Amino acid sequence: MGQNMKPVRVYLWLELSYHYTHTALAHKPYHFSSGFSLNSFLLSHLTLSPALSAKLQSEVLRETITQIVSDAREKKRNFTETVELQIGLKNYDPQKDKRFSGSVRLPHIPRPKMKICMLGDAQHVEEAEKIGLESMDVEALKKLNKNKKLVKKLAKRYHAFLASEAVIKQIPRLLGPGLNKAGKFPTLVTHQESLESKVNETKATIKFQLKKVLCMGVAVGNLDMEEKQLFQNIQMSVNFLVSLLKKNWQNVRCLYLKSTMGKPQRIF
Amino acid sequence: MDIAEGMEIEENISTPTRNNFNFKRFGIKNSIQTNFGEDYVFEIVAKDDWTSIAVSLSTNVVKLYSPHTGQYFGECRGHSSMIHKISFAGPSSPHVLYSCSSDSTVRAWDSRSFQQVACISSGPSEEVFSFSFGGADGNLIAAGCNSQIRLWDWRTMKQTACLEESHMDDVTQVHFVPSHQNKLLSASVDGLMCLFDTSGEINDDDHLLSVFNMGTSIGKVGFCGQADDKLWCLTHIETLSVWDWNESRTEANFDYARALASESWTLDQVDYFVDCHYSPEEDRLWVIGGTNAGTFGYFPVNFGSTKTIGSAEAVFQGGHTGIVRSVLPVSSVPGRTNSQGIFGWTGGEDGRMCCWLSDESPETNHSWVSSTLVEKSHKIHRKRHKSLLELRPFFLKSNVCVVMFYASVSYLWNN
Repeated sequence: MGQNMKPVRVYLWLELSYHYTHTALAHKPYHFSSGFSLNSFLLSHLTLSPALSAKLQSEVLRETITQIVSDAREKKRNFTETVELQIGLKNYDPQKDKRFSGSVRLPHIPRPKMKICMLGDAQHVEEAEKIGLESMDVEALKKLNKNKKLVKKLAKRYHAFLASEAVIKQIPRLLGPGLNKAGKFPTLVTHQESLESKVNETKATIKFQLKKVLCMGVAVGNLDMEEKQLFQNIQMSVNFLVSLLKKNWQNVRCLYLKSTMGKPQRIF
Repeated sequence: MDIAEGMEIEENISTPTRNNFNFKRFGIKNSIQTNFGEDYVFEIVAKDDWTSIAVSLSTNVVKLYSPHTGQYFGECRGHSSMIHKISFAGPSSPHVLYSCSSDSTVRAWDSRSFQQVACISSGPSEEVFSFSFGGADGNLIAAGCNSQIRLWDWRTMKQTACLEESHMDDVTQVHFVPSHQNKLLSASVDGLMCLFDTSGEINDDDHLLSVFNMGTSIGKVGFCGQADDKLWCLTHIETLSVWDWNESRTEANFDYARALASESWTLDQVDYFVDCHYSPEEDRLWVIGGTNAGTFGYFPVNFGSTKTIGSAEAVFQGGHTGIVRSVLPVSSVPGRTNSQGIFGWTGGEDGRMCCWLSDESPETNHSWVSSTLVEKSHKIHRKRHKSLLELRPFFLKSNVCVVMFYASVSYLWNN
């Protein structure tokens, strides 16, 4: 029990308490170490240490987020930088193993500036106006006359589309496959759910896909978000992606975090 | 949990503690090691008359075996890249086996001589992930490629259409609708399922009937319901949904399907789904969920007035040691076996093919349920092997002999 042990004890305490204590407390580690008895240290060591080395460590993640945020603050940019999670896999064969691809909804919206258009029936168009969401009704869609160029232009104007049940069935007939090709076929909104919550859900959903190489990047946040929100987004997406891998953490070679203009910081 | 607790539960065998864990246990009859490297078994399909089964491997070959004895017949070599789907042709040409691959071809093989008899090319670097036979006159073959769907008349081998506007990522599935042969369903990594009318001159603009947005990359789809009016859909993030494709409506959506299935049995976490099986006779749908360690089970899916994933009705343990990739049942109702008591064949990432036997004697099933599966502990495996030895020593002995025999036979054939 010498000097070497102290940092470890502090580390374990932070691992436990991140969610409960204020970030301010975490900046004063040495206050805690004196309060600990030998018993509690051993107990926490026994319960937590197996998990520590195997997974993403909360403390490392939190520190890296702080680092990235402060690095970015040094040089002012004209846009809000996106925070990207880069994953390197190992012991995984993209040809033989099952595909690693899909969409996941994050707790906090990573790209708030996402432009969405509501292709709605009368009720939804009214609701859309109320929340300041752009919309088009069936008549407006009919005016496009299934013209490929016009549909392509429409697809380019927005990042994503929502559509009412009555409208979504008519889209192949009204617009043809134009939205399909653009990867922007609308998501269904029913009258049983709030339009605003559907908009937020769409903005918070990110796509991930591993192609022929063993690395990929996903946008998990932006620098306008609070550090805690970034932490939650990253932790949730990492846990979700790892749950889809057959060897879980044994399939993860490395994890990096990066802001658009910053340099990559390793977190695993 | 210690043994004392286990014994307590054993007494209450007729009233299980949680949901009704009333399921059938299957034991291994045969286990064939199809290769001795790091290679996987992708898919197992059977000929119409069940005289042979074809197995696609990650070594780009298709091997044929006898489903009754496990005897190795031969192999079809020719593909230069991953094989994604194999299928025997219908009763019209019973000996022909089809396969598609990332090498941009759909090939036909004579399963008796193992020679390639035909090859359709989908164009340079257009990987083929799926194919299906159908069309109003039964003359079409559709193939799902990298964002394109191609159609040929297989009698003339001429391409009749190339649909390239409806998907923008790999088309993992194409299926002609069983009871409406002129309708074609496609599913893709872009999260969409498209329904096409394939009569006449086919093009994206006029023949796209409906689009269903799953919102996430789709792995497998199939049909269920009376008159095949519903379709089930498994995604790459291991969620399941059931759609009414006529009404363009979701019937059930299981976002947390793995968690629901895990709660429906007493074994380890369900990590993935292999496939869905539908029985037209009983009008029931099951999803086959498995663990990374190789155990898998049949979970009933209810998508009517209540939307649930029910308790496992059949459990398969002790066969595979890795992810299970294909389950081929002899009959469409799990639990029902053929005259020899064989449930079916399965293959997985351990390179193994397993033949499963249903043990019909009631007291055997009961004791397995009570002592091994109600109790969740590491002791499960040890206990199970013990009970197997106690109750059916003869079976185990003959089983081991059979396994060793086939292992040596397949080794000799392959080398």
